[in-house]
Amino acid sequence: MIVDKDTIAKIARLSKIELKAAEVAKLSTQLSGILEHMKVLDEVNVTGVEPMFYGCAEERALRPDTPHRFESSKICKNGFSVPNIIDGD
Amino acid sequence: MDILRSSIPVISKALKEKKISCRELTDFYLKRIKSNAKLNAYITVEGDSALSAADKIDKKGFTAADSLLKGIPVALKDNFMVEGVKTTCASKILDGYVAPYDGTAVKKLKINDAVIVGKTNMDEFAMGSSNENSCFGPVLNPWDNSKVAGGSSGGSAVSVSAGLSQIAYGTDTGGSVKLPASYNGILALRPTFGRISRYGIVAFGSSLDQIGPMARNVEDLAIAYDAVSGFDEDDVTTSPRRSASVYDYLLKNVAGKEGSFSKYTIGIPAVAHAGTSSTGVDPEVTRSMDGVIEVLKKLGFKFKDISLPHSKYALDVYYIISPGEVSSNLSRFDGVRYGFRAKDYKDLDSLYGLTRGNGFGDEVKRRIMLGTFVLSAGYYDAYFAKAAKVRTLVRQDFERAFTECDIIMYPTAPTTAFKLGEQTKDPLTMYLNDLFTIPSSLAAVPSLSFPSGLSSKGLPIGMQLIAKHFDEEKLFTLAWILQKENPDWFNNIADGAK
Repeated sequence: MIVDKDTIAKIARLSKIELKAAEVAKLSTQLSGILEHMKVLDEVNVTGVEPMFYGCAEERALRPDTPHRFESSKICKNGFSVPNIIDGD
Repeated sequence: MDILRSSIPVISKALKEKKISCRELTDFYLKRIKSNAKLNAYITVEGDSALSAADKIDKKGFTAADSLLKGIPVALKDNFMVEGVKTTCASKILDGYVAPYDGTAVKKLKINDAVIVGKTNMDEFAMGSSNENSCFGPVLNPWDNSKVAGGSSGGSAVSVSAGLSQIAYGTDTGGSVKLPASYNGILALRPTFGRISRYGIVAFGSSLDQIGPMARNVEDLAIAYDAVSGFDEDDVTTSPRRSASVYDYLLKNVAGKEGSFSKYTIGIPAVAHAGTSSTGVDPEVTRSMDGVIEVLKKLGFKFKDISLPHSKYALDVYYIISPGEVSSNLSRFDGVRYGFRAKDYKDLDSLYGLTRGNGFGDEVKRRIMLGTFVLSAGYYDAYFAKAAKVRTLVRQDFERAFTECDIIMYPTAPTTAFKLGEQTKDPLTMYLNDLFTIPSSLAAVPSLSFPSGLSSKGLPIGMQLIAKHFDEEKLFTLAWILQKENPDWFNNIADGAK
């Protein structure tokens, strides 16, 4: 297996996802299968090839650095109530 | 009037001449959404606010100068922010989340006085090819309810194909508007990367995501595209190129002159001829493509075999790059500020872990894990960086091909829609449905899927046209000509729709 259960546990910690034991086993099999398929990329010669990280390498237009403000009441509608932890605040 | 088979210009004229009111039109579609509820195409139906918007439009009245979209019922995939409306991305983790603002595309639709009838079902966070990954259940294909609608914009595709809205919008990362369009017998456009602002779209893969309009005919697709395209200072990835109206271009340069367009050379890649049971490409799909070629040859179009040698690696490249980007984009869903928050956590780490472990579905978790792996120390160079270089080669294949031809054509999908539940056991099998849509997504070039008839089992088949960057006009021109030549392929409502 390319991705054993210890590696799954490590990735889960990095991704901040808590997995059940059955999920760990299943993901180990599935990700190993997917990564095995990807070994086909080993046959591609990429010497001297620049990576493509962006969708379209066009010149980007910029806008003035003026903040767009939201009404906090609209943002807070989605929030949670939490206990007050700082006195006087 | 036959609303379902009328294009937007015809309906707009009827609205302006008061042959139909906006309220009647909106109510017509809302009733169809209700009578086709079984298809599960909608997560949120905006019945009251749509009728209220329609009444306001009727009260304002219509003038000849009004936008063609004024009063037209439109559906939006549920990853579009519409202020004051629930936005779920078909995920438990966004439970209760209400959008605090309108995305740019939504703002533009509202400026045009389009009527938003609802938010459509989708694969969770746009990850999927069948629309079976939604926490609200799968979307059913209206042509055959035992089949998938395609994903991830399945709800939007079904809304158009079952006549639940005039047009719809989805998003396309690796094929998520084109694939469901193909399975549903409608048109969809994936524009050049940067043509349409993504401000207000929940991000999946930021070097790939694009908004895509979906429609039953070419006029509607062009109008839908025109309404939302253009530079946006809120989205740095939008192109500063001026986006001229494609619909105006078609009326001025193509309508009535269809016979004079035989100068296009159409490139067909080798994979398109691969219709045997061993290649996974349905022979009926290949025969359908051959039928389209015959139609175009009779009109004088020339054909050339072309090579896209690195497209065979595109699927693997995509399933490294997009999960990598997903693992970053979905890190914002943590149960702290909005949405679902797990109970019984003991500290911050377990708040995150339990929220994300229970809030995300299996496919989303799988892709986040895959993406985290390929970006992690010791694996980044071998996977992510390598995939990004192969992506360049995929793009260069297209650039080279476009020195030999004007448009590339091949099937949108290797098969017609498959059975619900048939491919959910093995993720790799599911990923293979994107085989034909992914290469153009990686290359950031525009592509348009159009319906090319039905299979022997009555299921839609789709073909795609691909052009070079910013050459949407060629795609629409060829689609317009095909619609004129074979009108039976277009403006169809799925058999199973009520």
